[in-house]
Amino acid sequence: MARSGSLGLDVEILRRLNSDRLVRVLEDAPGAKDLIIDGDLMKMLDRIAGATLLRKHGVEKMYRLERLPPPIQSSQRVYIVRPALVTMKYVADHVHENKQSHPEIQAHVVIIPRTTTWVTNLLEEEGLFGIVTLHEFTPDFIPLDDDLLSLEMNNFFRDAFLEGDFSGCVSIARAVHTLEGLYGRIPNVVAHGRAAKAVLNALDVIREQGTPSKSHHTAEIGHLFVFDRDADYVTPLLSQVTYEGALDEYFGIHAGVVEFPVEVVGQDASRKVPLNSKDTIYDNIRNRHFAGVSSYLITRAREVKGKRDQAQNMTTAQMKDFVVNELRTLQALQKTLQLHLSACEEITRRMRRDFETQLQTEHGLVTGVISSGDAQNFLKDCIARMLPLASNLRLFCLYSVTQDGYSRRDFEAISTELLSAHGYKHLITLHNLRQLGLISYSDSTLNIVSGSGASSSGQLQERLAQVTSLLPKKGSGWRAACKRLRLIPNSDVPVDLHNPSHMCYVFNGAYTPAIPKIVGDVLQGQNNASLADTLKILPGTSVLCSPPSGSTVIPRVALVLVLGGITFAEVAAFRLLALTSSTRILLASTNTTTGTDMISSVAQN
Amino acid sequence: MNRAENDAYWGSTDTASSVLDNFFDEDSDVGWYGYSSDFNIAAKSTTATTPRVSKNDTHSSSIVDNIISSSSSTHSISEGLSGDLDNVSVSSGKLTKNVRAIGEKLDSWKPPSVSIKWNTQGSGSEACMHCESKTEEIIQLKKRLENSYSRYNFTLPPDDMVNRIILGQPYSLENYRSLEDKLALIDTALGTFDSSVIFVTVLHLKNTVKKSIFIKEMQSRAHAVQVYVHYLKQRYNYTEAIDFLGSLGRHEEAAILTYKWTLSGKSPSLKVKNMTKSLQSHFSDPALAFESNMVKEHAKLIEQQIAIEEKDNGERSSQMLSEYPPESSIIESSLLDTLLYCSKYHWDVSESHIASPVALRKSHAISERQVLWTVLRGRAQVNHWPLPSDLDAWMGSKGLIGALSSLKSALSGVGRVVKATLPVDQVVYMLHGANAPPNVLAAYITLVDSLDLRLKLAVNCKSHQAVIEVYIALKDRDALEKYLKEIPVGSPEYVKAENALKAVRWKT
Repeated sequence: MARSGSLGLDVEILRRLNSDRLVRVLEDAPGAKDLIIDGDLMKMLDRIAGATLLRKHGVEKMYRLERLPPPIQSSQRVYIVRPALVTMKYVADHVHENKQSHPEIQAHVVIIPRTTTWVTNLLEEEGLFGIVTLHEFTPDFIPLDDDLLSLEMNNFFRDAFLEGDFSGCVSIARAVHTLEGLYGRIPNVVAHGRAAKAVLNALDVIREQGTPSKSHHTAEIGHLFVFDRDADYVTPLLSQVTYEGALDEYFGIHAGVVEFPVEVVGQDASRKVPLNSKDTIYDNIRNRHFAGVSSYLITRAREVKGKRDQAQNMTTAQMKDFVVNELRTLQALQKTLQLHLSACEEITRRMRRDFETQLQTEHGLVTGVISSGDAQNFLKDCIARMLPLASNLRLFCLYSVTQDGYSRRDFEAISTELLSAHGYKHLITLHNLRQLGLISYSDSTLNIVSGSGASSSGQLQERLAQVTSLLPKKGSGWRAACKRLRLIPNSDVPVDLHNPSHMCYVFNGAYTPAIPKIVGDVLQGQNNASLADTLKILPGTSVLCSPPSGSTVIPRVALVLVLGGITFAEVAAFRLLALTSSTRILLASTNTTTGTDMISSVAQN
Repeated sequence: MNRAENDAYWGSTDTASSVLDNFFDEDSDVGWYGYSSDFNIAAKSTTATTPRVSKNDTHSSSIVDNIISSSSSTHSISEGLSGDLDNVSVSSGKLTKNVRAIGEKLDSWKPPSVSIKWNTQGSGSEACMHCESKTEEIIQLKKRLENSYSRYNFTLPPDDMVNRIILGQPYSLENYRSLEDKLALIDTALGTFDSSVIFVTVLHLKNTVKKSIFIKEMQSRAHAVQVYVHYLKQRYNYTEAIDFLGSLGRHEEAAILTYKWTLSGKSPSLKVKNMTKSLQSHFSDPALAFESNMVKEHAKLIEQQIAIEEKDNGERSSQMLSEYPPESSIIESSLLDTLLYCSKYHWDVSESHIASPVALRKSHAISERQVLWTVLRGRAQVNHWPLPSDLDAWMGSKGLIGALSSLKSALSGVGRVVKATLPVDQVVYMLHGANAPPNVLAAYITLVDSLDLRLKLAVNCKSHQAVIEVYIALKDRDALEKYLKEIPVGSPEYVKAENALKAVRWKT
C-alpha cells in the first residue's frame, strides 16, 4: 500500500540522534573499555549502533551481563543495564569482586532509560555510591519503519499494568519531548489511561525545564494520541490474520526483524530478515489479509519469470543491457518472492487443523453470535488437548473480556482444567490476569430458586434485586464500550478482505480495533465533548487538550502512542486509516507485541 | 539463576536501612565526598548569614503551610539581599515560589567554580566602578546564601521536590519530618504515577515512622502499596512482603505470594512442606476456598510424583521404560502430563498401583474430557491404539461416572463416551498425525454423525475402510466404483468394497 507523502517530516533523524547520544555516553568514559550489556537491551542497542561504531569509540570487548563477572581486559568497564534491582545487584557484585583483584578498574554504569531511586539506593547500600560512575541514556524512539517507532521496552506491559511501575513513562515522555523539539509542540492531545496520564504529566515537567526557544517552532504534527494497552485488550487477544501479524505470531518480529526458521530459508541455520517498506514486495503484502498473500506472490513471481524468459529471445546487445541493468534486480525480486512464499507455506503448515473453528469462536465471542456453552466447550477442549499455554489463556481471557466476566462457577471449572493441564503454579498467572482485568468473574450466583426460603414473593424480589445489583451495570463493561464506539461492523455489509475499505478487515470483518477507531473518529472531526463521553466507558481516565479556537490550520499529521505494545493488526488498520483519512499517521509504541507476548510476560515461569 | 538461589543471594545482603539523602548528579563525576568537602568551604565563609536562615526553618514545621502563602513574599530574599545582607528576612516570610527558583539555582551550582570565581572577582573589584562591583558582589553573595542553605536544612514544597526527583536532580527528604509533610509528599508523588518517586517517598515514611502508622497510611494508598510490594518482591524479600500485605488485610495477595514463595523451595519435598504450612495462614480465608483447594491438589500431586518416580527408578529395566525412555522427570510436571506418563508406562496395572492412571484420575477428579484426550495421546506415544469401545470399557469399569457412561454406551452404541465428550474430528486428526493404523481411524471416523464430515475426514486421512462405509451409507454406487481404483487390488478394503458393490441394494 502506498503511503501518503512525507510532509517534510523525517524520522530518520531519530536514528542519528540516538547513536550520537550513545556515543556521547560512551565518550564519558574515554579510552579503551569493555562493555557488559543487559541481555534485555541487546536488540535495542543493535538497532541504535552497530559494533563498528562502538569499536570506534573505544569498545574492546562486549559481554552479556551474567551473574559472574567476565574476565578483565581493559581498565574500564561500562555496564549498560535496565534499572532493575536484580541486574544492579549483579553489577554491584561484579564491582566488589573486581575491586579486590584489580583495584585500578573503573566501573561505569549506564542506566537505560533512566536512573531510578531504587537503583541509587542500592548502590548506596552496597557502599558503591561515588565509586561507580552513573550515566543515564534515555533512548529516543527507534524508527522501525517510516511510520513505526518503538522504544523497545518489552517489559513495559508487565511493569506498568501488573506491578504498577510507571517509571518508564518519564523516559517515554522524554522521547515525545524530543519529537516536539523536532516538529514543534503538538496542539491537540487525546490521552487515555494511567500510563498515558503519567507520560503527559512527565511531559509537562520536562517542558517546564526545557529551553523555551523551541516553542515558537510551528507545529508539524497536529494530533497526539496516547493510549494504554488496556484501552483495548480484545485486539491483542484475537488471532491476527494480516501477513505481518501472522509473521509476528508464528515466527516473532523483534525490533523490526524477523527470524525465519530453517524450514523457511531452506538452509541449515535460521536467518534474520529486517522487515520494512524498503522491501517493495514486503511493503505490498505486509498489510494484506493472509489468505490473499500467496496468490499475490505467485502472480508477481510469474511476472518476474516472464521477464526473465523474454531474455531468451533477445539479441546479444539487448542481452548485454539486460544483464547489466535488470538481471540483478529480477534475481533479488525472485529471491524475496521465494522467501515470502515459503514463509506462507510454513505458516499454513503450522496452522492448527481447527484454525477455522478457533477464528469462528473468537469472532463469535466478539460479535455475540456464539453461545457461551459452545465457546466454553471449545476452550475446554483446547485446554484438554494441551495446546500452548499462551494460546489457551488468550481464549480464556477473550471470553472473559467480551462476555463481561465469568460466573464464579464457570471460572472455577475452567481454571481447574487449565491448572491440571498446564500446572498448578499458573494459579499465580490467573491471579495476575485478574489483576490486569483480563479475567474477571462475578459472584452473582443464580441460586434464587434453589434457596430454601425463597418461596414468598417478597423474599424472591429481594434476592432478585440483590442479584441484579451484582451483575455488571448497564453502560459499563466491554460490551457497552463496543456499542458506543461501534466496533462491531454491521454484519449485513460485506467486507472485502482483499481490497479493504474498512479497518475491520484485519479481523475478518468481525471487529474494528478500538484505538484506530477512536483516532479515526477524531480525525474525522468528532468533537471533544462527545469524545470525552465515549472514553468514559473505557477503563481509566482521559486527558483532552485542544488549542485555542481560531488558531492556525492543524497539519494532517498524527502521532499515536500506544503504551504497553502495539500489534501489527493495529498497525495495518492505522495504515488503512492513513489512506482513507489522508492523514500521515506516525505510530509509536513501547514495543510491538502479540497477545502471546503480552500474556507470556505476565505468566508465572 | 533460579528463585531459590536468588533467595539466598539477597539473603546474604543484609538490607541496610536505606539512607535518605540521595545525591546523584548525572552530569558530574564528582562523587558525594568531593561534593561535601567543597561544600564545607563555601559554607564556612557565609557563617554570618546561615544561623538566621536555619532559625527560620525551625519555625516552619510544615512545608504544606509554607506553600500555600501568596506571592507577596516572593521577593523577600532578593530584596533583602539587594539592600543589606544582614537584613535578609526570610524568617518572616513563608517559603513560596521563590523556593523553586532557589532549587533551580542550587542545581546549577558547581562548588569548585564558585570559589574560584569569588576569589578572582574579589580582587578585581577594586579596579571596577564602585556600584558595578557591588552588584557583582551581591550576586555572588546571593549565590552563596542559597548554597549555604544546604540540602540538609532546606526543604522544597512537595510538588517541586517530586519534580526534582523525576528529573533526576539532587534532593533530600530529610526535612520532611512531620507526618503531614511526609504524607503530602507521598500523595503528590502518587499524583505523578512515577514509581521512582513513589518508591523513595514511601521508603522515607517506612523508615521514619513506626509500623502501625505506616500500615494505617498505606491502607488508603493502593498504588503506593503496589510499588512497595514490587520492590520487596524484586529483592526476594517475600517474608516482609507477605507480612505487609497480611497487615493490610489483603489476604488474597498475601496468600498468592506465599504460594509463589513456596514454589521457590529447593526440593520437591520442601515445597510440599511449605505448601502444607502455607494453607494454615492466609489461605484459610474462606473466600480463598478455590485457591487453597488448588494448592492442596498441587501438594498432593508432587507427593504422588515423588512416589511414582521412586518406584520407576527401581524398575528402569522394565520393558516399557527401556523401549520408550521418559524424556524428563515427571516431578514438577502438570497433572495431565503425569496422567500422560502413567497411561504411557502403567496402562495395565491394577488400581492399587501407585502409578495407575485410573487411581490418579480418581484422586484428582479429572474431567472425562481431559482424561480421554490425555489417555489417547499417551497411548499413541507408545503405539497403542485403544478403540472407542476399549475406552468405553476403560472409563466404564471405573467409578460412578464410568458406570453411568457405560450404561449410556450400552443403550446407545459403541464409543458413546468418546462421542459425547470429545470433538471426534480433532481426535481423528490427532490419531492420524500420530500414524494410527487405518482400522483405528475408521473406528473413530464412524463415530461422526454427519456423513459429509465423515467423508471429509476419511478422505483426508486416507482411511479406505471409512470412505467405503460412507459411500455405502450414502448409497452412492458411482462414487464407490470410482473410489475402488484408489484401493490396492486384493486388499481387505478392496474385497469389502467389491462385496458391497455386489450386495447392497443401490439407488438407481
